[in-house]
Amino acid sequence: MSTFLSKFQEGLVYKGGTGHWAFIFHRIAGIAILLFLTTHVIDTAWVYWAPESYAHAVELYRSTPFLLGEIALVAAVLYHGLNGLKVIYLDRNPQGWGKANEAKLSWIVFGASFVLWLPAAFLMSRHLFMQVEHAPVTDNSAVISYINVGVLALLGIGLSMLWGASKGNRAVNVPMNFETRMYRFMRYSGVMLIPLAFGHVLIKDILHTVHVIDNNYVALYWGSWGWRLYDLALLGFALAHGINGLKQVLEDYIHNEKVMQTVRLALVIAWLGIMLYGGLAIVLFSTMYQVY
Amino acid sequence: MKLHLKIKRFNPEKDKAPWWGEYDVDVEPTDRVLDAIHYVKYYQDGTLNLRRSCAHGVCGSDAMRINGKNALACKLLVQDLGTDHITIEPLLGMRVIKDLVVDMEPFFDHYRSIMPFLVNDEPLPANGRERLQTQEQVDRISEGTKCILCAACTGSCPAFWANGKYVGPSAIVQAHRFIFDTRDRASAQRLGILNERMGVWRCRTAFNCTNVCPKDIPITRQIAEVKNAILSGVIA
Ligand code: HEM
Ligand code: HEM
Ligand code: FES
Repeated sequence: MSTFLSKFQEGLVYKGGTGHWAFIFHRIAGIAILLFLTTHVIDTAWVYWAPESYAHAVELYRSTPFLLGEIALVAAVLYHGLNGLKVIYLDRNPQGWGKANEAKLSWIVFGASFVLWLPAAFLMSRHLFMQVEHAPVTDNSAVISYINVGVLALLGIGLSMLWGASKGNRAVNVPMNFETRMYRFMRYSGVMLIPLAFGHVLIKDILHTVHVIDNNYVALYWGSWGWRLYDLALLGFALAHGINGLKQVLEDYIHNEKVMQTVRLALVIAWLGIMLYGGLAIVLFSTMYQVY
Repeated sequence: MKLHLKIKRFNPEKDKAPWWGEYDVDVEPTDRVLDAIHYVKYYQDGTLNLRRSCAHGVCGSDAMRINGKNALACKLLVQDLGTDHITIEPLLGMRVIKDLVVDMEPFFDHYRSIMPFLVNDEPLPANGRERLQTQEQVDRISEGTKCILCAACTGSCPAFWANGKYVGPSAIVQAHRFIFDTRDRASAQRLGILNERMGVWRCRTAFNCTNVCPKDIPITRQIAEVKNAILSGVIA
């Protein structure tokens, strides 16, 4: 453990460039989002499994320390998503991995995340220093939700058609294995999560904010199949992406193959468990809960 | 020009923990960092240990961390550091044998694992001489052929620091040099090796490798080309 820590520390003081910092922030942000997601799914699904507890949880989310955490979370989602796009784009177009271009794109990602985060941070924190009137959320916007799901489906189909295309002169046959598939999945799911996670955070956290969210609010959204499909897709992509990301990180630090085998099994079980628990809540949720 | 050198010293037979040796030396601005280290070793403390051979950026033996970043001590001029305080440490991610000398065996094991030699059992061309390549075919691999196996890249890679079983950037550059060589016939085998768990997929594109390569090999780009060759089944 102490050698691990001293190695870790030496890695941090290494004078790396923009890419090194991008890697460190990307990794920290990814793990942080996964941690949040896990708790978030556990408490959101209470809307179905334990409605009283959900009301308490949302109360907690409105407190100042949690609010600050949510503002940090938005920064993490923005940075991780945009930097993920950078990595996906450059890995697909290797000639872009030049010294000047890498630095330029990394700075653009730092800058764009910050610029997008500022107004979000304002909208989310204004409750702390001013009176805010919230228009009640009444429209469950079923039409919008179906359009969303349609666009997402098209994006998915487009992705799978675009990706394989590659030109070259010599063919080799390298059999696909778990690593190859997961590398691919991290990119597909990453691109899908841009509209899914960015859209979700924009609607829930920035525009509506935790101050209007309660059991009724969720019932309004889960009253429409479009939003249920949207949340199911978000759950499916984000959890699988995050858990495989965590596995990737743990493979770096855990060197004992026996221990790692147990960890892999634990991750699969956690993944299945959370998927079932959160997914069932969405599927089984019936509109009768609107009576709150 | 007066320089203050801080060198990380460690002799596992005597020292419990690494310690900093501090030395003042007088050098020309156009001297190399290696000259400053030599000055210490020759005139102040002969017990200081380092590897170097050619002293001209060819053999690849004196990669080390200079002011926090990997470089060849024999290629870096004192005046280009922009400071008169120089901190010198051994490469990260490899066991320190003594002072600036690290154990390169794991590094060379990774190098051997990707079959760093031309494989071609086909009959010789009709004239019995060379297997000719076009200029473009040569250009495709010429960057990779410049690698001197100094380990500056692999020693700068956070994925390799974290897990020394990762094959590392240098071995991937070496593999790339043969995979993209039109005369070679073992590309599929090498790509298969790099497709394994500790192969090319552990790269997190942190870009330190490209930034420190003393031969300016576009390492991260080559790694991405290897990834794409595996994914598409096409060597472009
Ligand atoms: C703090 C910011 C966030 C707030 C206020 C928020 C709010 C909500 C609300 C109110 C729901 C209930 C369903 C609905 O109304 O559509 C929900 C569900 C969900 N959210 Fe979030 N969300 C936030 C951030 C995130 C992030 C960053 C992710 C993904 C990485 C995420 C993933 C999900 C998932 C997967 C569900 C479905 C949960 C289940 O299956 O039970 N949320 N969120
Ligand atoms: C918003 C869209 C997102 C995009 C575009 C994206 C993209 C990516 C990409 C490309 C990688 C691989 C990085 C590499 O190979 O070096 C990655 C890793 C990762 N992602 Fe995401 N991601 C997104 C959302 C999420 C979410 C919501 C979570 C959490 C649930 C998450 C957690 C992780 C983790 C833990 C890693 C591993 C980091 C590492 O290996 O250092 N990502 N992401
Ligand atoms: S001593 Fe040969 S490369 Fe520096």
